Amino acid sequence: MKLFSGLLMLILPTILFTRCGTAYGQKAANKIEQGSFPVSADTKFFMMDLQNELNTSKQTLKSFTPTKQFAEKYSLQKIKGKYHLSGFIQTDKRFSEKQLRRIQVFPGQPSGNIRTVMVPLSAFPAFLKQKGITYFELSKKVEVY
Amino acid sequence: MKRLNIYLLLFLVFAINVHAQENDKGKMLPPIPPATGYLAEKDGLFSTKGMSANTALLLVDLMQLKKNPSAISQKELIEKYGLIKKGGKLYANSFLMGAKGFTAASLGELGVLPGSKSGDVFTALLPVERIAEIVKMPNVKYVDISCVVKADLDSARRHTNVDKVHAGTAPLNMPYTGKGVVVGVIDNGFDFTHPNFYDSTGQNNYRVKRVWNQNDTTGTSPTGYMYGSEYITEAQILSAKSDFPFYQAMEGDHGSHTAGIAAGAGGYPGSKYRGVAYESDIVFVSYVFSATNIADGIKYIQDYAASVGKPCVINMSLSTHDGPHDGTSLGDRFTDSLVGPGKLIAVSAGNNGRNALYAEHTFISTDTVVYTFPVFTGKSSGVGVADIWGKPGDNFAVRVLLFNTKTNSIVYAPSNKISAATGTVSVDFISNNPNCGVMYSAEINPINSKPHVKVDLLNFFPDSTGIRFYIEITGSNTAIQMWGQRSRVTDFSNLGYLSGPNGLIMDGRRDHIVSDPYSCGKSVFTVGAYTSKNQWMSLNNQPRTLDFFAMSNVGDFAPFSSNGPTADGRTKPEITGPGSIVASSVNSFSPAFGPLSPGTVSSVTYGSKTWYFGMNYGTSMSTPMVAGILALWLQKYPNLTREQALDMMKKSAITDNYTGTIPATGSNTWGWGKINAFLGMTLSVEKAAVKNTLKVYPNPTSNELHIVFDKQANNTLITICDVTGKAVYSKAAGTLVGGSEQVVNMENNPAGVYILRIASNGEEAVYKIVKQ
Repeated sequence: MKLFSGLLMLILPTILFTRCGTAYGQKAANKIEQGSFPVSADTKFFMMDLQNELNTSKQTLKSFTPTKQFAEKYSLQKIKGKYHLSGFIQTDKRFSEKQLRRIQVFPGQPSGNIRTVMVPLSAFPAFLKQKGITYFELSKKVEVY
Repeated sequence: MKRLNIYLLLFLVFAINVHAQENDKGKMLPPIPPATGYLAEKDGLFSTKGMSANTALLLVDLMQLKKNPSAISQKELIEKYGLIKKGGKLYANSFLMGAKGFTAASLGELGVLPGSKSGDVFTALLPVERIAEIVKMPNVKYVDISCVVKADLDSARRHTNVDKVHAGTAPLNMPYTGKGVVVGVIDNGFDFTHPNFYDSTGQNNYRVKRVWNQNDTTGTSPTGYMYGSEYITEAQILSAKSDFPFYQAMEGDHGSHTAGIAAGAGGYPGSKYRGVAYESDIVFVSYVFSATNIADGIKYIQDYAASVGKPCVINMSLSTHDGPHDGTSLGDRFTDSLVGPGKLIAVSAGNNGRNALYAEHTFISTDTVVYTFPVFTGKSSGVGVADIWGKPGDNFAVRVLLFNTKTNSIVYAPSNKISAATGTVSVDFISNNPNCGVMYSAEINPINSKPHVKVDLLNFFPDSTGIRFYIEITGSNTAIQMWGQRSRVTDFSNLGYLSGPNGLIMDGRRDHIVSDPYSCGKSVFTVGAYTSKNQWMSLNNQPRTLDFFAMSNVGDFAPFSSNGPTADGRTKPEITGPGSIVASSVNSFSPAFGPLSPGTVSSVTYGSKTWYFGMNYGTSMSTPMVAGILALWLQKYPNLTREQALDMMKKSAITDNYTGTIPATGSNTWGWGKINAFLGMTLSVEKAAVKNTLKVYPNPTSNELHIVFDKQANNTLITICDVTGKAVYSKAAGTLVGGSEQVVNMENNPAGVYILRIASNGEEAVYKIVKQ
């Protein structure tokens, strides 16, 4: 009995600590905050909408499935099961393509210091903290017309 | 009483013909006595009063048919004028303009079959036997059977002189067909199997070399990209058949149509639906509706062209209104770095010519606030976007109020304005009213340093409440420009109010509405549209006309075509092309065009499969005309730069009564005029070294033309030709010292466009001169 109580005393705080840590971690991972570079007005709309979607749906960003309306509004593309946001980045000398790929963000071919990027939603907070990016412009919806 | 005297008219035609034959034999013309006056109806001339020239010619031909059936058959008459046979009678599809109170139905006694009405213009089928009587009816002001011809691409090719380039007409030394050039088309709704994309037989030498279907997630992406599927071999491309059903929307024919105009070979021998660069290699990119995907598509096409060592031109018939409209959006800047020698891009100006999407205001110290009403597709409720940009380094603020138009009062006013400099995003739930909400996103844009506030508006108050959004913008000693977003159709209006509660109410305008991004770019060709056809006969033999949105006279500006300039004052579009209405290939896998569709005009069948050709209008159609012409120019000059091609356009563009005289700085409606494939191609590519030593003025000129040489010029030859290529002035000026001036007297030359060529130092400079 004593042994059981002792084990319980040891396990409970661990479980509680772990659970709290996970909850805190989830909350932190779900937080969409301004990063290390400026973003376009549309991107700010997107960040606010994404935060609201996460809060309302109580999903985590890692497993977030956007509503059809949200996906259409921001032209999200589902690639290999993951929803991606696309946009242009302007870069400086510190930019590292390798670093972007490490967080699963896929850069397109460059044109001068501008290139396209496909950002999985789960990697969006990490993307916003990347060095070497001087501006992010959310891709605009374009019609054939 | 109007009199018809066919004999005199026929005699005149005969006399002209005899003259022409005499010329053919090389005989000298006899002295021609000067005319002393004008023939009049009293002299027995066939009166064309109340009718178009074509209507008069039909009547002449009809009389000839009656008098001498061997001269012209009924079948020829039907083909020539697009007549319709109903119940044994011949009918002409016509426009009627009536006096007040007139209806086409009122001519029922004369066998007129009424059609539709727009203002005082009616469409109707007129029995050809009764046209002479119809013209004389007191309520009929005008009868026009003009332009009733089968729909095809040949009128667009003729308007742009592409036919002469295809034929290799002198002074060209060979036919140009786009051979050796890659034509890339970024669009949706491609039918990869259409016979239009083979050679002129419609069945051999398939010309589509690559496809990147960005909508297909099942295949292998191109190297360097993580999305879409690339089809590399002919078998892969034909096996995919179409980007449908990956792209499932009403616009399921758009890409097949635009590609057919730029690069189609016609689908069958002798086809009227041949496009412009009909022997070019073709690359398709079926894009997702996103600006970045388009940017990737441009790079993909250019990389392919580079891999096969060919120049390329890319057609982008697409549009939105979302950006600063000054060429600084990242999509535009991405493109700037990609355009270069042998790499050109044509983009549509957009189809917002009828939309008051733009507003601007300059604030002074005593005028610091301005208002406007956003209008959502002509109703009070809906979803809209206002995109407001200021001057670099300045600031402004915005708030959105609610205005009751019934009580003329403000019913809601937020206490805070949103300043662009705050760089924040926020939502105004408007006292938690479920009927409306406003989102603001503010920034100082780091790319162009402009203050910017984008406002998303949702207003679902019923019309009956009279409650409208009311945008207030404040600033001091600065200026703002604002656009409504076309995809959600936000116009601006003063709703008839002369002044608001606190001052001026802005009305929307129809200038500055060239699309953004891409169309306002600094390195692309932005293309507007004019009308090259306004009636056609459908495949099931029904006469069709353009709708109100697009209707204008043949040769006139298409009313839907968006006007410039850009926000930073650059002339846009650069050029116009025939965009209303144009026939081309359509997607056989899309339901939009079938054998009975009003827009379907022809078909071609190989084996058990039938493909169609159909009608479309828009700057989407004029742009591939220009892209195709650029491909022809690239065939002659593979390293042609954007600056050189623009120079060729400026010097060769067609101007006429519709364009009026276009200033040297261009027009924000017509650009530098209507594209002229042939004349542009006869110009040698400008040698900047020569041009920099010259000054030519005044232009336009009414009398003397001065040519000043800043530097010494050796072996100088000055020639001036009219638009037909005939030399009207030539002078071997020899060696000219720097600062010397040559004066050409053009007083006796008729008004019009002339080409001035100055050859010197082994190079040549070419100028388009307008004689007033």
